[in-house]
Amino acid sequence: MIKTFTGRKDAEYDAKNERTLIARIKNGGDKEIVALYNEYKIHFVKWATYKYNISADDACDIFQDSIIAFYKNIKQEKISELKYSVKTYLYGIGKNILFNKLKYKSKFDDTFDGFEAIPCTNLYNEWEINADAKHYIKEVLKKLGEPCYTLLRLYYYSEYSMEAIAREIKSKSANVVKSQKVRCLNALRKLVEDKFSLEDLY
Amino acid sequence: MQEEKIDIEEVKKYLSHQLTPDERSAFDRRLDHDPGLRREFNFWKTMVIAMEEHFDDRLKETLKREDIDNASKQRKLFITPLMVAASLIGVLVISYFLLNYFTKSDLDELFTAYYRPYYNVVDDYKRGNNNINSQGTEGFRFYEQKEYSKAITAFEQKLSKDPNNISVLFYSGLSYLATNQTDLSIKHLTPVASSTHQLAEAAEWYLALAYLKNENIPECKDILKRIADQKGAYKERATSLLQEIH
Repeated sequence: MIKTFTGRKDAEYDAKNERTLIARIKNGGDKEIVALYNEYKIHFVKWATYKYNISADDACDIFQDSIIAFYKNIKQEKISELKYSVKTYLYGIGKNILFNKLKYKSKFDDTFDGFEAIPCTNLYNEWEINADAKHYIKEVLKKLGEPCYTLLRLYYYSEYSMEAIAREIKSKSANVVKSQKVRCLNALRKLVEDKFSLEDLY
Repeated sequence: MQEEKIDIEEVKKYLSHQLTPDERSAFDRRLDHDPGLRREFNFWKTMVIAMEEHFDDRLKETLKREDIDNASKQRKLFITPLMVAASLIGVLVISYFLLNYFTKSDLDELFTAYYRPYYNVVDDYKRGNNNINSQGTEGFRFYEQKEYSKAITAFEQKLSKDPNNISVLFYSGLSYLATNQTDLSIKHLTPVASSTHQLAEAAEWYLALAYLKNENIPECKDILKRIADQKGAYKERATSLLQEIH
């Protein structure tokens, strides 16, 4: 449930279809996320550029971040059902990101456009880490190769079950995937430890 | 004493506040009393956050690629035989509607009542930022002087080198509309209206007027309905024109 959001209800939205959409995204529907992006992007960009006088590029960037935040909220089960339409929710997140990025909150009335800003802080923002190591790991991941790359993505980012990953990467069983995951993490760990000692990380 | 272990799943739960307060306190105590465990924690913390950011970036790249693909599809769509066929069907439909609902003079009157030239908000050559050799800039100058035929020539030269220049497409579309070349106006305004550019909203309005002038009432009404449903600058005008067409 969305606990923090108290915006208006959209009369036109189809609650049943949107519940199905959430369920599909939760069960790995990456295509649904892209479809959602395509469905609302143009309207969001027009709305944000007109209402907040930002460039289309900035509006587009903000909407991409909104989609990612929405996706992660579903995966992390912060949203199990929607009290409001997906559109209202996406616009609410977008508005919050817009305020944070452009420091607009104090300049604008937050109530008259029908979309209330929905907080969506990054899950790990509060943690300080070694930026060089982070950058290195992000680069090393690209070179990790398959099936490790997909396996780690599905398990740690998309929150798939072992069974679902087994189906996705055409592995024999969930147990095989579990062992593969350990090997992949060890391989990644070795690559990182070749460059950084544990003492370097904080 | 046996060495304590810590794994990535445990660290991920800790970082994302999925542990209960008791579990969290116990976890903190373990970290405080064991420097080796703290180092392991820092390692997995870095790994979790880096992976999350990497996959965020990857998803964002997917969405950006989608924009590029969509823009490319739109450009292809614009010249497909299907469009030509659709246009022909459109002409037949228009004819039918015209015979039944409107006379040419009615539509001309409506167009005259609602059409106002759009100001040049793009090229500020008057403020000395122009390059007189630029066809784009020259086009804007002619446009402001209402010398639309000359503006069209300059804009088309610019478009031959830069066919996706949204601002030039927009003002050339307006120039064609001002000279009653509605088919060309529609051709130039359509990609602007379907873009995410700040001129898209105005382009949509003038596209509706171009269809009105072109006597394509169904298409005109579709666009006006879209404008009227939004909170844009043309909402009232679109609503009013819609009522007159009904």
